Amino acid sequence: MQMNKYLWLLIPLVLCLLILSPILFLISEVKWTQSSLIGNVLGSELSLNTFLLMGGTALFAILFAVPTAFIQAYYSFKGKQMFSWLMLLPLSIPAYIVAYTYKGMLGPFGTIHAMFGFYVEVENIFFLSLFMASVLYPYLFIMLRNSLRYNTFSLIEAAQSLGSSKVSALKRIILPLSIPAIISGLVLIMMEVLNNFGAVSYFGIPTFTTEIIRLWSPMNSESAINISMVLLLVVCTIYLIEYLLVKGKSYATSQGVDTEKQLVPLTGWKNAFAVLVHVCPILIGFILPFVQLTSWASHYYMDVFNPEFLQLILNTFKLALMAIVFCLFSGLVFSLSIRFFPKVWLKFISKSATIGYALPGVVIAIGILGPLSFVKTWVPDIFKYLIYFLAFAYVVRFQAVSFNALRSSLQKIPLNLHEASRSLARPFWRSLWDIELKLLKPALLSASLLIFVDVSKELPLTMMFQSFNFETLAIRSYMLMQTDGAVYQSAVPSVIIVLIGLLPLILIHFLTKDK
Amino acid sequence: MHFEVTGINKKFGKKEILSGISFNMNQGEIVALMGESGCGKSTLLRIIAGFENSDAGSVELNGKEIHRLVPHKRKVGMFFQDYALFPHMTVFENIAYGISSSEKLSTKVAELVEMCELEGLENVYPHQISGGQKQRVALARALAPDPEILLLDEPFSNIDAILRENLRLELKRMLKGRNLSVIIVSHDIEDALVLANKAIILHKGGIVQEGSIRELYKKPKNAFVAQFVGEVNILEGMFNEQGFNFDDRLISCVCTSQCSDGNKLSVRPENIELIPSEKSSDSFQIKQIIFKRSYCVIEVESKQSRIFAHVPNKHDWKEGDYCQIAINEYHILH
Repeated sequence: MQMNKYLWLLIPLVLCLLILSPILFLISEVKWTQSSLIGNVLGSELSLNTFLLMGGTALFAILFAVPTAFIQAYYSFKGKQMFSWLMLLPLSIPAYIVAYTYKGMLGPFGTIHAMFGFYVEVENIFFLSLFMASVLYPYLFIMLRNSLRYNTFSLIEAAQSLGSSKVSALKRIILPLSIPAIISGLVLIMMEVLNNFGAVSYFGIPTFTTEIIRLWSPMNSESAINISMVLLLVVCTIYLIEYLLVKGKSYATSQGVDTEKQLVPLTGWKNAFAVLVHVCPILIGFILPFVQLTSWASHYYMDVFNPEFLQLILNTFKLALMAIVFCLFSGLVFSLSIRFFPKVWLKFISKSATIGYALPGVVIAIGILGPLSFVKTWVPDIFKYLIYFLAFAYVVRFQAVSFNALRSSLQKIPLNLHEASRSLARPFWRSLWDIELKLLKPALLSASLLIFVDVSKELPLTMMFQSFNFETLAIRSYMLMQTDGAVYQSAVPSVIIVLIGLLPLILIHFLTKDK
Repeated sequence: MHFEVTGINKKFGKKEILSGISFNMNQGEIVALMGESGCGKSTLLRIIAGFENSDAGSVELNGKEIHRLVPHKRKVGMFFQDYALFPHMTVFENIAYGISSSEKLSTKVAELVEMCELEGLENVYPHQISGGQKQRVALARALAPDPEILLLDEPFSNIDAILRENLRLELKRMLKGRNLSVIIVSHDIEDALVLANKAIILHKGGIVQEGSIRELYKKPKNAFVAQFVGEVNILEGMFNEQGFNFDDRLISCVCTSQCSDGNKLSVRPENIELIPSEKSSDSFQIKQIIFKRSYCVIEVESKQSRIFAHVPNKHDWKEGDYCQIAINEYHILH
């Protein structure tokens, strides 16, 4: 047991260093003397475009998510349960696919042009912000709705009993309580915008991500590393701002969530209005693009389905499987170590190893490819094994998905179940198998599913590792978008990606239905 | 079977939890390990089970040192406070879990199911049964591997007061036939009264007294034990030839030199005799009466401390009545 104990402490430490190594490499590469470089990058068009896009997407996301979350929290209307789930559907469509679909629908020679004889010039920051917000707003919607559920009616009633009107109570009590959730939701959305490559590149709007990918070459990595560092700095600043704004404001209320009886029922035109407010984001973020994509795919699937396309699906599965195995392994190592040895430093390193989820994929890619280009001097064949490094990059990026799912499930399994098994004459490893691993089965499955979806959709990171004749569905979808004469064929892999993205949402739907 | 714990010490950080704990027990003995919350009794139980390591001391079973053995090799069964039933296994699978011999499995489980009156519940899951049934499954599961010694950690803490009494008797019935050595951890003296032959009182990490419950009740070593095992009145005053001078009044108590040293008198409420009297310089007034079915709790007014007496219902006391207090020397706690 003593040797076991050291292994349980040593392995997470080694894993954490390995997972953080790309970020440590980037930090070590910073030329602190060239501080003017940061200024130059921040003052460039890249920054302006990136920040405008972040701001625009945040504004549209507020427009889509805030009214719907408030209606969901305080009113009851026909179809409320169904809309609460439908509102999440846009999460299944990656931003680059929605941007591509709308360009095909609204742009010159697009569907609208053919039907009504006019078109809209959508390749600008305004429309891109709208399209990106239409698929990213669920992050804000989920966080705000959950937060409002806990800020129950008793607070409004308390304010009313103290002389406030309902509107004033909402403004003075509920809104300030919801600010941490709104900020956290917006930060998630802005991170997705920063991480985005496909949509901005397809619309020809240069941002940090497009520039890093454009400048990256194994022979000359310095410029790409420099911009990655600035991007890392922007990410850290956003988190710092979030921390400062939310700090001390995450009030926990003791009230339960059983507010169903207190919901205000909506009837007549008010009911219709509530439905309309929900239908708009669902229509823009899911129904229209999905119908359009399916329509294109139904025309072109014969051109795309061939052995080569099956190989693409196989590649995607192979990569996802590797990522799932590695992520689950490291997630299990971290979460089980904390379970059996709840030391503060162990919790700290486990949490640190999940930082990759907050970082843009290109930054992680540069953090791995940078050192590889140095290693290439001694190991010329190293780039032949790039697929394994790509799987490692996914582990860095998606470690949080597996760790958070496994840790939260393990916390719900009392430690005395393991102890009960030990007291019934079962050794440690057998107890681990019989109790923890068997009870973790649903968490392992859902984490696998989420990683699978994330890997299938992932574009910028995969693009950086792509130049080696190894394509995934996402890459093929993006490549076809860029190819004249094959634009609509891209709908086929895109539809498959969206269908994969729908899997966890369907799972959530059935799980909540069972409850 | 002989079980012995010697010189157990345990610290968490700088805080000393257990210090020099030693006791032993024989086959069929049921020992209650009692003390307030945080006194270290559960830690001691976890050290015996092997889930916690002690800083010093040893644990021996039948003359064999088991202190450094991993939990699954100790032959020590454990009943957990919240039962710790495996939620993904049926009642049958839970009970069968610890049985190593596949030949005897069905017979053994059937025997335990019968003993614990769980017939018909073999194929249901723990979340589908009541609290009392869960308790019986947990006991059957702990007994299944035939442990040399069984540890029960607060077995009734999750049960409401009305059910608790019945379950104590049920547990006693189930343990009785097996001649098993058992250690029960509890903070409720009623558990020890019903189940144990011997009690060990822990206070501030050490054993303050051990012995039969009757012994602890009648002859507590100090005020802590006296108060822990039952209610007690501790009166401050002065012994003299007529009795005990308390609150400028006289409590009738003929006392030899043995009990008359010191200026404190400790007595259980049921050993205080109230004698009806007129208002006088030595009389006490009755402040409140609480009806407790078979007896009454009477609080007598005093300036210094509260005095409670448990008296039979046959006397019709009223609030505001006057009385004199008498105590038999034999009942004074030393």
